Amino acid sequence: MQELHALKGVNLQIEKAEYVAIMGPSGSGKSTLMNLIGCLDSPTRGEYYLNGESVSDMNDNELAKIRNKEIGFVFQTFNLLPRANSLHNVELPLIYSGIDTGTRREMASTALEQVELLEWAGHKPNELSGGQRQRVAVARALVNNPSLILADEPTGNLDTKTGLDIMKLFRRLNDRGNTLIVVTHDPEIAQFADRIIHIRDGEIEKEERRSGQVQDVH
Amino acid sequence: MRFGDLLRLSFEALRAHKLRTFLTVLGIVIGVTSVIAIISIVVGMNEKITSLINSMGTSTFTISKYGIEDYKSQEAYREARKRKNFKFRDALAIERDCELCEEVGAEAVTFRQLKYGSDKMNNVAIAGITSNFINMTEFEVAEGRVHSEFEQDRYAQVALIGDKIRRELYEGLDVVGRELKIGIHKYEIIGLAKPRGSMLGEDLDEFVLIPITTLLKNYGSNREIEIFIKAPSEEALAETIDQARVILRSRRHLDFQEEDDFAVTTAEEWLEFYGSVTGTIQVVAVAIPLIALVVAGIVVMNIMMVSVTERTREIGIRKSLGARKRHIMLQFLSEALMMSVFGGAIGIGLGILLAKALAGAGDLPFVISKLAILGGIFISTGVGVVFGLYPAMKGARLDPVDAMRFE
Repeated sequence: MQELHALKGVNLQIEKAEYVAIMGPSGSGKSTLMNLIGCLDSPTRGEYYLNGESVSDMNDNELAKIRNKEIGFVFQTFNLLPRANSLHNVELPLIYSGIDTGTRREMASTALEQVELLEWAGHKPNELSGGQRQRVAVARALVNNPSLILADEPTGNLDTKTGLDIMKLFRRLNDRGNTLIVVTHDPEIAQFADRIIHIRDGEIEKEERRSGQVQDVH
Repeated sequence: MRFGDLLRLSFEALRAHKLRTFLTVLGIVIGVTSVIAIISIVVGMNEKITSLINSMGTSTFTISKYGIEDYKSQEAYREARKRKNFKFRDALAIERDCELCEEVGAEAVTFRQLKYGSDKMNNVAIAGITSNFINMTEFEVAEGRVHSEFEQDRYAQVALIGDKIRRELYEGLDVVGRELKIGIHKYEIIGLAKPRGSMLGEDLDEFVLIPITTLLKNYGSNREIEIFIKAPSEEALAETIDQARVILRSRRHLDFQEEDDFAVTTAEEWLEFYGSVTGTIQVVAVAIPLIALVVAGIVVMNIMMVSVTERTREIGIRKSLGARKRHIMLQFLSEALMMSVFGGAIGIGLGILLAKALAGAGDLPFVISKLAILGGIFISTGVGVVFGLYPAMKGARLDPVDAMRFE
């Protein structure tokens, strides 16, 4: 039986408050990398440290706890619950943290305020535009004050202008001190990050700083 | 995750599919209703029969030429019929010679037409009893009295009637002191029995009690009588039975190696007999509605499987946001439980009403039994857990990445 390695020899360190883009064509392994970083999956081999803690050999429950407290996801397809309104969607991670209703409402409202959608709190996803939906998703990613916000093709389902709005929002969040990782195949989107990591065939091809210098890892 | 959040979540999910939830709950309601109704009636019947048999007291036994065994087959019954009838004087002999026997009573039965004025009732059971009969059973008199030993000794033409007789022949009248014709003989009514209701279409209040001496004189003395004997205590039962048997064996001229040509039956044996006759029927009666419940459980399982598949993406999203296996499992399990417990609660209520209606229509006794209610709660919860567990586990095991990709 042949093992298939989606990623091999990836050595990557991301600092607190950094804004990193991971770029690569489809099939390059960037989704696998993102699943590993997001603790949705554990590596078959290798080590992953988040906040100095080894994640590689955590069980399902511990991973769930890390996802809940330390990571905020923003997906290409928004992944909001269709029957729940914006406020309730933003509240979801807090429900699994066991936070009481009152505090939850408050925290979710603050997060919605940060993405300027407080007046849409009572609306369900199908009553919102694509950009608004993605902003609800961003608010949901923010609400538990995670160490890391992980965005997978966040503008993939949005038109250019709305996509840019989301990227500006990310910029602001990063300026406020949030650590951001954006996975994308779109160079324009990647340009918003401080550091761009190019992946091809499961390996890091090159890293580039926004200052312009390209660092070849080979 | 907080308990309140869990309940709200499940409730919202059920509300989102009202028709589906309604149909699933309906299945459980039907299952639980039928189980509760049947159990209520079966338990009611058992209690009634047990109390009827026990009303003669646990230290009392009967002697007759027919025993329980003789009712079990036609041949046995035919053989027993050939035996010599007991006479009233046999009872009197026991009363005289049996030291341990505390009370000795006797009963003979015939069926006759009753008449009052122009009103008639046909084929009514007329029981000739000894005056001490009332001390030996829990028989209750509503008005008047049972005949005395004095009246018995003098073949008095007096009668105590059951409530059915009062309703049919003396509606709206005071019965005590009225005349009653049994066959061609006239009697004075001296008492009225307390109503006992009916069972399986048989009215337990359709009877007349007269002195046994009067019955034998008026309607033929060559008839089988049954002897009732009360032992001083339950412990002394066996010894008392032996004493009575010895007296009867000598009166019936049985050699020591010959078997008894009569039977002694205790209340306990009557209860066992009843249990052996009705036991199988009861098991079947309860088992059939249980099948309905299993079907309801399968409906729950089916719906929960659909629900899990339908919400695969939702499960993925929830897991990515930090829901653990346990959270997902509890979410679906509590949905299944909510439906089954809700259905069970309605089923218990409807089951009791149904039992009441059936009991009224079919002359069956029924009781609101704790067994039925506890059973209903237990069974419906069980159905929810058993049939909800597999779908819930299936949902909980989903991989978040795969689940979110699910279309």
